[in-house]
Amino acid sequence: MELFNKYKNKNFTFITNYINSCINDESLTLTEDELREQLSGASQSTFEEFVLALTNAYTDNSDVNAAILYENDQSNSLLPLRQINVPIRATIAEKAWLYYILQNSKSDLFLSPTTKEKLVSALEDDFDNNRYPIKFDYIDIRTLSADTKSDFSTEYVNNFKMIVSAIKQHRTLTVTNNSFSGKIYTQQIVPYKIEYALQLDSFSLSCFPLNTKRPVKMNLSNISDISIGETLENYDEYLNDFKKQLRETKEKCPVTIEIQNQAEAYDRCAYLFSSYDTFCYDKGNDTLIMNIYYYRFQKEEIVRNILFLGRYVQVVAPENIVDDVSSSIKKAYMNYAD
Amino acid sequence: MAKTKNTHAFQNDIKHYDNIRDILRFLYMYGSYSKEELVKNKLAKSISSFYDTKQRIENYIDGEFLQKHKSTEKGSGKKYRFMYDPFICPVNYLAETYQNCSYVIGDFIFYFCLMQAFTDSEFRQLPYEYVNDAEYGEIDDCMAFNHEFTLNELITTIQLVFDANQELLENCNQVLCNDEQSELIFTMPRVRARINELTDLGILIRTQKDRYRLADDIFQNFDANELQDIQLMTQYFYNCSVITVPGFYLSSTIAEYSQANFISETDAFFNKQENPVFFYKNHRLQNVIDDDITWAILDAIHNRNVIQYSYRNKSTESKTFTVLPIKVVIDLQYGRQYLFAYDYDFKGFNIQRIASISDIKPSKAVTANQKYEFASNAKEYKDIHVLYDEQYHAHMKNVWNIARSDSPSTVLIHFCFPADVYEKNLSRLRSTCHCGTITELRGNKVDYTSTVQCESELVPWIKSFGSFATVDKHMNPNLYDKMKSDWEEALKLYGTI
Repeated sequence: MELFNKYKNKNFTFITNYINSCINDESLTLTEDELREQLSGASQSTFEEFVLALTNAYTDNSDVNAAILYENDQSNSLLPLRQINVPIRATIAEKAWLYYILQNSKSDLFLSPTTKEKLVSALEDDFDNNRYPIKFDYIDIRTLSADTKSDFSTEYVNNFKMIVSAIKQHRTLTVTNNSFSGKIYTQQIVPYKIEYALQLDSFSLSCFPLNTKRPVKMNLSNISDISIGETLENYDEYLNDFKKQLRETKEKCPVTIEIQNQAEAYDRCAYLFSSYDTFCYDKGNDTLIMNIYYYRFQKEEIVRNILFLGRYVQVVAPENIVDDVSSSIKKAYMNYAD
Repeated sequence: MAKTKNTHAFQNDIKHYDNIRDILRFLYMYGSYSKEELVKNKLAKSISSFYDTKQRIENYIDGEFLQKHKSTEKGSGKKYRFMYDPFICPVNYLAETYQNCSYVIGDFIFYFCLMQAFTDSEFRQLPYEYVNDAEYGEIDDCMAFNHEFTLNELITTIQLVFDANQELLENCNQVLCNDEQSELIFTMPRVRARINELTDLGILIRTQKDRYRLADDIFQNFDANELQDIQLMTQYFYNCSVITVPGFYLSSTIAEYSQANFISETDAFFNKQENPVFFYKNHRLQNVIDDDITWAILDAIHNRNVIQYSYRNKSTESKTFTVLPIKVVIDLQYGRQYLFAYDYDFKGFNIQRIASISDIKPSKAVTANQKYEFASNAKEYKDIHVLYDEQYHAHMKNVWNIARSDSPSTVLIHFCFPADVYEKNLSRLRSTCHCGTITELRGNKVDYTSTVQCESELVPWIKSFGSFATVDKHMNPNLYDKMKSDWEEALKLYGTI
């Protein structure tokens, strides 16, 4: 099958949802104007021919009205002509992908063993199972770490699920954390979200300890004990405060680097910084300028990336980062000056 | 209000993803550029086609993520850039560009007439019960979910559905129905073509040569809570797994399924991406732009097919390659994706970037005898994928990340970390060294050694440790000299040498 195909056009999703919702609950219907507005939006993003056919506006026999919806006289809203739910079926791409991720041990962090078994069974019994092309054997992920990951312990899985519940339900958590420095802390926290670091394949909890009210990050592997607390009535206040503090740690002055168009430096730089908020432009003279807007806690990683990229990349601002980088390079060079 | 077709109107949807692939990638990776610069870089054929593409991208992607701004340089117009911030936008908004494949009205009518013809035989829905007319209750226009139908039977059924719909529309809204339309839309060639498409997708299955039925519902034995867990798992994984779009589609399917079967509070009809629990560090979105290529490659590997594609090398020239794809290789350092394949023209194995591949199609240029010419014992393998795996591992033995060469060597690197950051740096060394042996010595010193195919591939990684890392001069003199000269050149940039 083609991954990019017409049956996945968002209009098919829209009408499927519309028909099914209206059949289940008539209060969700829209008038013709409301429907046009939702489909077309401010950007005129749905082609006019389609909207005309959907609203049965054609009067000329050379064009066909869809005859899927009709207008109810009393409410002026559009209802499905045929009151049968549109059945929903996953495509082969979706099923293949689902089967692939179920073989990743991280799926145990989300599903109970019963649910997982039922799902794996349903996919293995699927008529098209032999057409699933996403398999571990066909893909090699060049992991950065030499260590082989073992499966998650029961304790880790339980901690993970508890954190997820607390985040969804806006509840506090009491957490015992063994930090890098060796100290053990037990504190009550407001969880924000779980951060997943793709390159290191690790989870951390981004949260707000109640007694410090400053954003803190804890690696989930360092959490030895956890219990769930009450729902926070004023969770939105905490969330806004957290976001405000986060915004304040975003530096107004970006790191500015100059990249020479040599040895694929543009390309390597663009890939390395593609997960940052960057702004590039051509300086001329075969040089690209990249401004990197960053959070204060990303500074170390940016310096590492600049060193990583080598001699065709030069940081020109701000002064403290230029000093950091140039002094690192000088010290590194001294190791080879004999 | 216009009531006839306007063939000159701007068409938002596109037939082939190739139409926006390059410009989307360029804007995401390199933004910001003006229209003149994009035409100059051959990313748009002309200024007018640029406007079309630009309008499409603006329509496909939420304005919050695609920013326009005026340049301060004289003479240049508006520039565009994509923003990425893991806290502000934890979703992969580029995936939404896959929801814009073009279709015709006939496709739409056919799909809904077909899908609304299926009903649960145990809880039969009566499609026209609201009309209060016995005549409509008697129409035999439904099929059970597991009913196997022929194409002729299907044509009769959906014509009945469409005719009934049209008649009702005339009764309710006085819209004149066109008796000939169902004959025109549902001809055998058109129906066969669409049934084949849906079977290829897996929405329908072909049980025998001429018989089809609706695919099984894999979610039928799950309750609302289990579906929520599956949905959260799907949302997590599609934002960090190798291929994104099938997971993105699945998330939408699960949302549609939940909306159909468990009355939820939402009244949103377009699927909106959410990530209520996770955000991702170093989340690089750009690979999604190549997902349809990656999917086609995986399909070819699975079916052991030979493929042909255009490959754009560094000088932006295109060359055609005919290969047997063996493995998709993912580099986590830069976030690039590669194809490891046997090249029939070069008569050897290649590793090429998926981002440079386009226009991929099956190839019939290679005979059955030539297909596995790289292995004389291919016939002995019951499962040819075992042979693929062996070939791959033989070529990739001792490869540190991606680069291969003919001159393997053993590298020895000495690390010395200050006491206050020793644990942190040792942890980083362990989690980024790919392979090899780490030995802790006294005095905050650590040695790293590894046998690698291409030692120069380690240079950027060694550099990222700054002054904490030194290559052993006697063990690796070439690498030592390279590091020395690189640091020297870097120092010149800062004027400190």
